[in-house]
Amino acid sequence: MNKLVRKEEYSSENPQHKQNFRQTNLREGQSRRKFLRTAIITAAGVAVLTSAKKVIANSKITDMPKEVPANLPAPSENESAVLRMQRELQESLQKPITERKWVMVIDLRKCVGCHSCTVACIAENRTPPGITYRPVLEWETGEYPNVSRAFLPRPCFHCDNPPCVSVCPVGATWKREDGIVVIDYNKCIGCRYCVVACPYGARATDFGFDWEPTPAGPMNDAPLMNMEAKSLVDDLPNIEYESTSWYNQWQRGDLVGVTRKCHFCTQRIDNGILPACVTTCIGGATYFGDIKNPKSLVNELLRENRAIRLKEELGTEPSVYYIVGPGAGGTDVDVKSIETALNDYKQKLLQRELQVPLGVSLK
Amino acid sequence: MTKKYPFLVILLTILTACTSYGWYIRATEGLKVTALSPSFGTWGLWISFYIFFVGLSAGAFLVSSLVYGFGFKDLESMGRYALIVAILSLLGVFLSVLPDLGRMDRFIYLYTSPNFSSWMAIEAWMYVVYIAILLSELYFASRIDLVKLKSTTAGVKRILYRIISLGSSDLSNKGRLRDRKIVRILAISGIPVAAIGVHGGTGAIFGVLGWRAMWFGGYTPIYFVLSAMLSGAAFLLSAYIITNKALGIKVDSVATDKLRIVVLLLLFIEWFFMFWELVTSFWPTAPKDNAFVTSLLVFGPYWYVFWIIELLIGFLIPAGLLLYKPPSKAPIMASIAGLMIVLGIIGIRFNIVLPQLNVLPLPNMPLDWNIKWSPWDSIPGVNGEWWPNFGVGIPYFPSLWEILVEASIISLLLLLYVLLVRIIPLEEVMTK
Repeated sequence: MNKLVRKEEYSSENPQHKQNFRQTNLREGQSRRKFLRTAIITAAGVAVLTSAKKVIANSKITDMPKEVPANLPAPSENESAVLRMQRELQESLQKPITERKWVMVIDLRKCVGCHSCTVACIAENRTPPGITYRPVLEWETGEYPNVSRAFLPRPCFHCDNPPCVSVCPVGATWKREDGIVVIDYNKCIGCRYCVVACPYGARATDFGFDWEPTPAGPMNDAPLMNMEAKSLVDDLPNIEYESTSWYNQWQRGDLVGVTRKCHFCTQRIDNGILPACVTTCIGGATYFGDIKNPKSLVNELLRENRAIRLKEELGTEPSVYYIVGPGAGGTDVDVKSIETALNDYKQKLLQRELQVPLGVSLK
Repeated sequence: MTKKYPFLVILLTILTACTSYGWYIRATEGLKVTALSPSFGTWGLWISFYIFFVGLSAGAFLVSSLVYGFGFKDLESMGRYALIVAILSLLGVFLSVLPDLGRMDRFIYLYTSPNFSSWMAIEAWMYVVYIAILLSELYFASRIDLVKLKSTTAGVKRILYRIISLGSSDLSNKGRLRDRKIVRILAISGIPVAAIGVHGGTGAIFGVLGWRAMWFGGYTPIYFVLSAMLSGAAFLLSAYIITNKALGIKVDSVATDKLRIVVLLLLFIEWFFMFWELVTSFWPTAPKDNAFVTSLLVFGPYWYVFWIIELLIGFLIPAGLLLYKPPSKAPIMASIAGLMIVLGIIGIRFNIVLPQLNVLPLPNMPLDWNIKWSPWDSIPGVNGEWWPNFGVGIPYFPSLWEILVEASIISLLLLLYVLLVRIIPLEEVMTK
């Protein structure tokens, strides 16, 4: 597994090679131990994945518990927001689907730009390269020396008047009664009209790219995922959410060619668990809840703070709100700053200053 | 020509077969072999050619309706050419949009579960109505001649004509008059289908997207139909002259000279529209995206498409050539001018689709993941190293496979055209 590089292959003159030399020496000293460790980790990984595959393959989404075992602590005055949202979520699930409407509130004053929501989303929904359901957009605001960075997490906005739904030629995407805009991956033909129609860039088509297995080699001796493990991952069903059709689990190959997007982790919220980006948010900036519940945390936040929605002028009525304003240490993102950043991009493109054109790979 | 004809057919067959390798790669590797991106620049060469072919088809049909619907006797000799071009272009429409679908196997869903709030679904259904009109119009317009050919030919040809004349053997004057009436009804009833449904509707696919400033509005479908008529008329002018010269049929100089006036008129109206679209976009209170997209296509990385392909090749040179001498005096020059106009229209189609896709919905969206597996990569420097004028700053340049697929479609259509003009009687068959 560990191919050791012979010393003779390197010249001691080249500083890069000197560095490699040190690494090679280190590696030789530890090679046996490292080899064993890597082997054990890989074997364990394969074993876990194999058993996970069996478990998941044998269970349907519909078999999952509709309610999470309710061992949440009793409500208290100073309880964490996540606990409160979790409780409210489960309460709302008791109501008929038409009487709840999920919204997300993102407090931009608290967002620190750590991208952990993006990572959690990729892990939860196993999105391939090229598709990010919830990127965190970043840009600089102000002019030197009065500069700061702005962070804008962008999930799908689950608009009440979604431009993507009416343009779908086959009716593969629709708005659920609880406000979530979903796609039937069994129906989507991959024409990408919705991708073009979405004013927020929330949709992307799965072109079939995959995270490449890291080749085992001298410079990279602890593979992130070896070929065998990768094939197992690819074979796992993708439990994104329950489709209305009889077949509700997708293999990796079934999703190639269709359009995908954020769905507020429907597979989680339908089972009483908060979306992955909410529970993982380090700054506690992302809130989720039922806006039809007057006592919910999201309602409280929207009542007491200054909230905006993006591109209100289009009349799309997004279900994602941003709380803005100068906060403790956070950045001041507002519509103006978004526009300034967009203009900056346009100028760069026009003057051909973009060194990485959009159409070229980031290999 | 009869000597060279088999060579032409063989050449086009080989060309189609070789370029079809692009289809194989597209089918086995999926959309990742394209230079398209999963989210922003998601439409490219194929969609540009899709709207080009829709336009060519609708334009050719509208010219044929002048003949069959409104009795423009002067253009009568071009009627069947126009219908053949319209039918083949519609095949090009289907073939160009097919590889662009992420799931080609689900193409049928457009017909089995359409969502009629989407113009794309309305389009898909309109094409069916349209192709039915086209095929029946071509049949009734050439039925008498097909019946005549059935009795004058022998062997395989006789069987062929027996099949495509659908068993009809009516040569009476009554039958001829009935045919004319049917063709007239089809030609006139097809106009709303072609102008509103087929090509205006394709414009509406773009025109209904509210946040895409350059696409949105009632102007888009109108402009689509206008440039469709131009491309149809210009292509017909060249196809008619070239085909007749090749087959040794007499070129009807009255028809070509009349068509030249139509082409010139449409060309100037087209650029009249274009001029006002560009001018209004630059005024200070125009929507910001309009100004951005317009400057992108006029001064930005797409400058050469606008200045060289659209303006120089598509407008100035052919307008000069057509004004200089009428086709009756310089037929080859006129046919070259027609093809140049068609090339210009292809440039216009590119500039409708591509620059608008550079408008990012929100700032600093994560860059896309594409051209990952492209043969361009194996050619040193193509991706923006020593090809800066085309590479750097241009958000999309089609991959080799995209070009191969489109080339195979074009060569297949040319092959079918070459075959069809030998089968369908292009002028009235004289019997002894």
